[in-house]
Amino acid sequence: MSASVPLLQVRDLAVRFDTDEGVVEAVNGISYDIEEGASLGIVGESGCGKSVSALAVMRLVPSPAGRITSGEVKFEGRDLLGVDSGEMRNIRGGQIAMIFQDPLNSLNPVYTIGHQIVEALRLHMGMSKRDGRTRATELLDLVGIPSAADRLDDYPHQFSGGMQQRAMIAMAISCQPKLLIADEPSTALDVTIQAQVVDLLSDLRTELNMAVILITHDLALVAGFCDHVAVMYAGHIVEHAPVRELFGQSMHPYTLGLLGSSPSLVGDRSKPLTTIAGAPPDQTALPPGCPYTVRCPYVRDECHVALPELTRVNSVHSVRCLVDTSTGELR
Amino acid sequence: MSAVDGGKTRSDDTTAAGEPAATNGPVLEVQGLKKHFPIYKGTVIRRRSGAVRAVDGVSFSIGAGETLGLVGESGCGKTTTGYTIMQLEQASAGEVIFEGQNLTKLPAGERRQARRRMQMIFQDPYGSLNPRMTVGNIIAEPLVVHNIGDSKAERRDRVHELLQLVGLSPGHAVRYPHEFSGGQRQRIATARSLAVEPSFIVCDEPVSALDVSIQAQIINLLRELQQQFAVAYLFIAHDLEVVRHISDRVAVMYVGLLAEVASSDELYVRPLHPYTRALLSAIPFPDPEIEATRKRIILPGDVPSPANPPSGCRFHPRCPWSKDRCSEEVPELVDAGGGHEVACHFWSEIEESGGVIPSDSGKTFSRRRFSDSAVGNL
Repeated sequence: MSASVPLLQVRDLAVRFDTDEGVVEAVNGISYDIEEGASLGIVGESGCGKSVSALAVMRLVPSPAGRITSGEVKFEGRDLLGVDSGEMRNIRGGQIAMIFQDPLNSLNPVYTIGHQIVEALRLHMGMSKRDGRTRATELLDLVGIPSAADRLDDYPHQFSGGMQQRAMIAMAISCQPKLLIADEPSTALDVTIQAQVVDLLSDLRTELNMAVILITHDLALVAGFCDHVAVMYAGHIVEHAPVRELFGQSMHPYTLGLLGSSPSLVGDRSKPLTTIAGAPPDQTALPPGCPYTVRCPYVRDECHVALPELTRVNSVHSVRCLVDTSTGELR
Repeated sequence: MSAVDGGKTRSDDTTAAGEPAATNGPVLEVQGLKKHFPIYKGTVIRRRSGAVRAVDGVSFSIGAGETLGLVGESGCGKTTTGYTIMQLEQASAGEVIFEGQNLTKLPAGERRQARRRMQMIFQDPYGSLNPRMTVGNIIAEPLVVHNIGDSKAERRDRVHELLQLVGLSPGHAVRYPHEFSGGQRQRIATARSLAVEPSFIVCDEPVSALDVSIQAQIINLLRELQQQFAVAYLFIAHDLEVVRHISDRVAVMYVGLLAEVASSDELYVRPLHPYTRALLSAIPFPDPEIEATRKRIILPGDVPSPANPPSGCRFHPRCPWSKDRCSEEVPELVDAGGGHEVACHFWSEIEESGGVIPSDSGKTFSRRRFSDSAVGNL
C-alpha cells in the first residue's frame, strides 16, 4: 500500500434510523482519515452519533431500523460499503476489530473464553484447533491475564470486569487487525482497572502498529491516548484537530463547554462549574441552522440560517462554527 | 409539623431550621458501622457458610451543612454504607447517630419520625421514580407519608415551589417521568428529597448516569441548594474529580474499610494512603502536555472480594509498598496532622521517600511484550 493513501477514509457518512417518532438523523455526513498506526478519538455525549458512526464503518448498523444513507468508507482504498457481506465478514474481525463498552454482553456466556478466541483464529487465520489453543493462551498472556493456560477453559462469568475486557482485547487483536475500534472500552470499569486497560491498549497499539479509533465521552482519556480528536454533536463533527491543538486552542463553543463543565483534580473548586444550558436537540427534528444554537453562548442571527461548514482554520485544525470564539466576532 | 405554613417564605424557615443543628455538633455520626450479608450453602439444609463483609467497621461524622465525599471502586461498600445509614439495610453492628438520636436502637415508629429529616437521591434516575405517578404526586409523596400540609392545595403549592427551586416549572407537575431526560429526572428526585426539609441527604452517585454537560448542571444545583438550606450531604461517587468539586472532606473506602479521610483541598495534593495515590494517578488528565509526562501507578490485579478479604491491610496484595507487617496487622485510621486520617502502617515512610515505588516491589502491573512472544512473529 502506498504511503499516500490513508488506512481508513470516511467521506460524508450519514446514518438514519426510522423510529415511531420520525427519522432520527444519527450521523449527518461525517468525514475523517486515519493513517496507519495512528489514533483518533471521537468524543461526544450520549446520542451524538459517535458509536453509530463506528458501527457504520463496520457495517453493523442495526437493520432494518437503521440504514447508511450516503457516504463512502474506504479501507486501504477499497470501499467497504460496496463489498458483499461474505467479504465484509472476513474484514470484520480480521483486519478491522472492535471492542465494546460492556464486555460481559459482548462475550457469549455459554462458551468458554478459549473457545471464543479459537473460533476467531480458526475462521480468520485457518488455524487448527490445537494451534489455536496455543495461540489463544499466548494472547491471554499478552493482555496480562495471570496463569492464562488455566483460565482458557473458564466461562466469561468467571472473569472479573477488567479481565473480561482484556479477554475481549485478546480476541480483537488475535488476527492482528490494522484497525481497532474501541467503543467506550473502559467506561464500565473502575478507575484503577481503567488505567490497566488503557495502558494495555496503548502498548498494543505501538507493538502492533495498529490504528485505533477510541470512542468515548471522556475528554481526559483522549488527552493521553490519541493523536487526533474529533468532537461530535448531534451527528456532526464540530471540531477536528491534533490532540494538543484541540486542548490548547479549543475553538468550537461546544468543545469549550465540554471542557468547562468537567470538574478537575486541580484548580479553584469554590466556583460553580461552567455548564452548557439545556439538553442535546431532538434528532428527529434538527433545526435548519447549527444544531448547537439553542445552547450556544456565542449564538448570532446568522447561525440559524444554515449549517456552518467544517472549515479549516489552519492546516490541521477544522471547526464548524461561524463565530471566532476567541473574539466573539464572525470569522 | 408546624414547619409547613405554605407561601413563598419557606426557604427562610428552612434555613432557620437548619441553623440550630450547626451549633449542636455533627448532624450525623457513624460509629463502627458494619453490614455483613450472610452467604448460605445447601438447598435442603441451609447453613451459613460465611458473609460478605460489605461494610466492616466504618466511623465518621458529618457537620451541619457539610459535604463528605465517599469514594471507592465498585464493591467497596460505599453504597451499602449509605443504605445502612438511611436504615434501608439493618446494620450488623455499630451506631448511626442522627441529630442526637441513635437510629439503630429506635423502635420502628420513632425511627420513621427521626428519619424524616434525612433523605436520599439515588443513582439511577430511571429506576428511582415511579413511572405510573405524575411528577407532582412523586414530589408530594413524602409530604403525604409524613402527614405534612393541611390540604391538597397547600401540598400542590409546595410541589410547585419545589419544582421551581430545582429549575423546572410548575407546569411539569402533571407530566410523567418518561417525558423527562436523565438530568431533569435527577432534578425531580432532588425536589422530592427536599420536600420534607431534610438536614441531611445521602446522594448515591447522583450524577454518574448523566452526560458531562448535564452532570455539571446537577452538581451546581446541589451546591446552590446546600448554600440555601444548609443541608449536609454524604456524596457517594466513584468519580474523584466530581467528589473534589463538591466535597468539603473526602473519605476513601477500600473493601469495607476507610483507607483515608482528609479535607478535599488536602487529599488531592497530599494523598498519603498508597491506594489513594494509585487512584489519583490513574485518573486521566484533560491536558495532553501533562499526560505525556505523567507517571501512573498501575496496580496489579482486581479489587478483592469482600466475602473473602485479604488478611491484615486489605490493600496489601496490590500495594507496591507492602511489607510483612501489612499482611498480619490491620492498620487503624491514625491522624497524620490537621484531621488528615490515614490507615496505613507505613504512610510516613512512603511520604518521606517522595512516593517513589521501590524497584523490587513486583507489585506493578506487568505483562509480556509482543516482541518477546511467538505471536509477534506470525
